[in-house]
Amino acid sequence: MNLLISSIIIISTIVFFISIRSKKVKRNSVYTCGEPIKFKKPEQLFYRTLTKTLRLKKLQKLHTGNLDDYLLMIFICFMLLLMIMVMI
Amino acid sequence: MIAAYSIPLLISVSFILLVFKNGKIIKTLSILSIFFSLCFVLFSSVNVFYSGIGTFAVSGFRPPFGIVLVLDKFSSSIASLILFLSLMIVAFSSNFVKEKIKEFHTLLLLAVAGSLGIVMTGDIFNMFVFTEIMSVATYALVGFATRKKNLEAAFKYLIIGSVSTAFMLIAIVLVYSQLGTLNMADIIVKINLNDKILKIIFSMFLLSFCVKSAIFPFYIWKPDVISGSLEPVATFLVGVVSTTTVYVIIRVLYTILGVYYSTWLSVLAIMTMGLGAFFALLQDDIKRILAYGSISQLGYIFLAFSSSLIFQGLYHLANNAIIETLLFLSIGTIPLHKKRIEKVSMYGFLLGALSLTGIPPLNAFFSKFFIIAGLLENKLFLYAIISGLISIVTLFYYMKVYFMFKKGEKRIYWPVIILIAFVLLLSFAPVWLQFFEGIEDDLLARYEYVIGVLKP
Amino acid sequence: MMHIFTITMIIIGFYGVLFKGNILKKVMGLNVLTNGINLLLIIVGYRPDGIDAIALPSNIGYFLKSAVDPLPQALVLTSIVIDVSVTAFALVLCYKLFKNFKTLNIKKISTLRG
Repeated sequence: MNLLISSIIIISTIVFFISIRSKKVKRNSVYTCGEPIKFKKPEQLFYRTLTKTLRLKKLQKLHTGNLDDYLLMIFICFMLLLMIMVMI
Repeated sequence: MIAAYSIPLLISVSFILLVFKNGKIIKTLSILSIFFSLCFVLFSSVNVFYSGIGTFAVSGFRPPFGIVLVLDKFSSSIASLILFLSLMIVAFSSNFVKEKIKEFHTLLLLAVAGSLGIVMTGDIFNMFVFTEIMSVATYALVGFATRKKNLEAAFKYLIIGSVSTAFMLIAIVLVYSQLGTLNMADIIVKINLNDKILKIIFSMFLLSFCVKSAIFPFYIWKPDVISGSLEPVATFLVGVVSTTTVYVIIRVLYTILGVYYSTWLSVLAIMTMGLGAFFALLQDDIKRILAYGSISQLGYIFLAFSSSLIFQGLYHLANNAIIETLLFLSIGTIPLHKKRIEKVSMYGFLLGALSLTGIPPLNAFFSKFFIIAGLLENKLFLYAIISGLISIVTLFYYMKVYFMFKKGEKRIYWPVIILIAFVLLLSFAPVWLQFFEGIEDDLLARYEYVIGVLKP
Repeated sequence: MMHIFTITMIIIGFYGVLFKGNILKKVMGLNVLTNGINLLLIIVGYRPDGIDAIALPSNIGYFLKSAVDPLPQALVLTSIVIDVSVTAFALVLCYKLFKNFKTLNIKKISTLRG
């Protein structure tokens, strides 16, 4: 019974998703496997609302691509987690 | 135990390859060596499933003193999964890498041998050695194509991986100074979990593998490394390396420490799951989307294991490894077809993506469903709701990738088709559940592991 | 005393890896770090006035009292070999990076991001 209900929910979300995809197609340079190619990029309402509400763009700026920042973040998180795990 | 011969087989073949010049001989030799080691592992895992733990004392020293290779149900199934996936990857890479074929196959076989060794060993220093073999081979593989982005990704991976293995080595040294043993079974006998120092040491060991498996605070290197490496190498990193690191964390948590509920790991897993899915939505590069997607799926596996849902976690681990390999191999046909995706691979990608999002008759639906049902049974409602919602987000980023594709001409790639067949095969959940429940019982029996290895 | 030396060595290694901008200095820091850990491993097996771990029928009693633990030495050898291979590979990568990016500054080698 649970299986049935969940499957109905999931299928309905898919149908909703496909219907929400707007017909307008914006040509945009999208990267596939590292190399820029012209690809069709469908516009999505869902992404925009989600990124706006969760402020994901600000979080994304933490991924600077600089190894120093990555190492510092990993080291500090490592030490913090070590402390937390010992406390518990 | 015949499976112990597969590691020397792989390493020796990897060096024999350097003699040959003909590309075809090299390909067939490397495929055959992996195939034979898969046969060895399967043969001895049949023995393991019928008559208990198999051990192999390297150079004849008795287990607490020498190095010992151990194969119980969990490690034998993971070892055969790893070898199967790497067989597919090697078979696929043969139509991808056109220059420097022998170097590529040498490095790939070394990496496979390293990951197989990590899974099969029963000694933590030996585990360190095999980790380094696997890691150095994968650093070299990431920087294989020697273009700008490959070199940058290789350097990032090298520094971060070396720092994490340095932490692991510190932990191993401290274990030896505290307990006077390196054998895992002997550690189980001697360990006293109320000791604060031992707690610090094993936390350090676990966290060093968390860095390697790229869960929440440490995930940051993985998208860079995957988007900067060749397609077969990216597949290897996602399919094989992350499976082995998950194996090590589970082995340490369950068998050595006997910790079945860990709050810190489940919080990290939730964060991994959510952030991986949300960052995947923001990306424009296909490989980066898939990298963040794989991070998000690792969150599900760790969530299952940290709240003691073992057979569900094992089922999702197997599903995830096979489906991620399928996804990466099918986008690997884009560079081969002049920036278009091959037709059958496109349907393979669709199948894998739908399965990972949890469309009912497919395999990952069952594993995710069992995980969520188990969470509800344990009254962890918040975790269940979050993982259900993020499963829907998964659909959006995979479909975003799917709508970017342009269809190319039709050509048959056997690895992709075999992987599609395996995805469909894994969808018969009730058969597999019994299998994974058998592994669960084996994983919970810590003292049988000790008795099987030490043979007092 | 030796413990303090090794711990400072490990800390210096971490400092080099984390805060130095030059990639060659990062590799050197990594080397210092791993050598510090190797030294820690030797200290674990150290025993004052110890003898070789070879038992002869004549000196069994003396052997049991004062033999050195042979395992850490074997471990150190393995670990040194691994460090050499990692360092060699890292230096090759630095050379290739310099040829491609014309710089050794890690802040300028950041094309992969996001």
